[in-house]
Amino acid sequence: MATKGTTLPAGHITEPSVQDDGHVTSHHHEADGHILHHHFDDMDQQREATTLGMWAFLVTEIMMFGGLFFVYTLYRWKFGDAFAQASHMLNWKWGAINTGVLLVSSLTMAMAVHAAAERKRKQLIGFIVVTMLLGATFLGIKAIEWTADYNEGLIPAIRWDPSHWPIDGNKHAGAGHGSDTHTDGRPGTDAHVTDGHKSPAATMPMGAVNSATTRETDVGKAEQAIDSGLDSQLMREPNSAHAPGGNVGTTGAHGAAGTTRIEGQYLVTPEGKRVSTQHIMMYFVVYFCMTGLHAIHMIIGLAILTVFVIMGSKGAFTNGNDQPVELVGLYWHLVDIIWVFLFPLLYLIGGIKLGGH
Amino acid sequence: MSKHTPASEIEVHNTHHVISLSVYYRVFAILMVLFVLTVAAALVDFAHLIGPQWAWLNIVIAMTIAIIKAVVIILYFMHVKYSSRLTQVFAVAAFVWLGILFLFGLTDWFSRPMLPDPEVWTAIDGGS
Repeated sequence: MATKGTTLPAGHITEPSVQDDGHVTSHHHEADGHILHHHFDDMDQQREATTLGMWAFLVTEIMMFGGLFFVYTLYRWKFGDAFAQASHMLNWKWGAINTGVLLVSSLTMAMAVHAAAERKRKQLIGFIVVTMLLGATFLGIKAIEWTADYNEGLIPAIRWDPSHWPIDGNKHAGAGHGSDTHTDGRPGTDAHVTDGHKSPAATMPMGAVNSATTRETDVGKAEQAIDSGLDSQLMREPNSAHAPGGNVGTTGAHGAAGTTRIEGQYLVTPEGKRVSTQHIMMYFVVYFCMTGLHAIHMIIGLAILTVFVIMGSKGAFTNGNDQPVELVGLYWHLVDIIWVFLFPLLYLIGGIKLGGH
Repeated sequence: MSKHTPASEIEVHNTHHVISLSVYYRVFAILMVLFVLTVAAALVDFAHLIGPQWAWLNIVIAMTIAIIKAVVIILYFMHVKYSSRLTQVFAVAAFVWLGILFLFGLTDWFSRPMLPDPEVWTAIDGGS
């Protein structure tokens, strides 16, 4: 046996039961539960080829997510302020908990792989079940987050309503928020303000409809022109952010000044920075595509692990045939790696506060 | 690569070579420390702390930590450190290709403003 003793084989984690007989006459050579298929010379080659095949699949996975990461990069470059503001509307603590949950699940998955290699059936089942529970916890937290996103009008095309966004301005505005935030009285936006008042109820997802219709009109263009004028005015008077200019005497009972608030199609920060809600929408499109695709991968992983628990409890992977567990482990770790990048890119980009949302 | 692997990282059971659990525990500890560092770094607003020209520090730190975490997971949890050279090439190739996607994609993106407006071309052509 070439692999006997403490000499390490060149790059292989070798099966104990493989006999180096080299003279396999039958189509299948069975070493415990591990079958050598006839198109491979020996178990090492078979194992190597199988691992390589899994990695080829993982490479395509990396490229698929890579495309989304590239989209993220472009839009973040183009709409940096909007992305920072949008990330504030997520609760970073849920994201942090989920990061911890996935890292622990990666450890338990690695331990499951270890248990399979050691032929410890109960340990293997135990670690797979714990991994699955952690994966389910992750998805549960994701469901809580998405429910909150729905209630807060943060889901493009499904429920998009800036008047419900979790920003200070909406909290101050109280029950009737939404239409209140339109009454900033900036010159040239009268039509838009009227439009805002005409909408029957501020609590309806009318914000999306309003902004969509207004965007098509000249009013929208006029508003943008005025905004750019306002911006230059702000640059001249950096210390008095939005008190002067178009916003004079507009705050009133809405408590708008000094809070992050919605004004027409814009989110306005306490510093007076104006961010298009359309650009914020791009963030959430990217957010749901990326976390959604990631969640689909988690669900697939859980489905595979369910099958593995059933097969594993019958001893299918603790008879020397441990490689399937190793392969599903590779998949699980890759999904974890995707999240390792998603967490800072989606939740932390605007900076976070310990007491904050 | 595996030829230089310290023997302590590999347990030998009846000629069975398995990565030691203590390696996994250490890797996990490193990952958790890096995770806490990510959150801690995000709590610091470098633009506010040392000046607006340092605003890029947050993203660079966050991405550096994420890349380190990914490399650690790939090397140890995904066994690439102990895998054959060909598997290692596959793993690296994924990120090389990702780099090509970003390099050429961003080159296109950022060079677009350098090109003349297509409307100008049609004007020169006489609209043909």
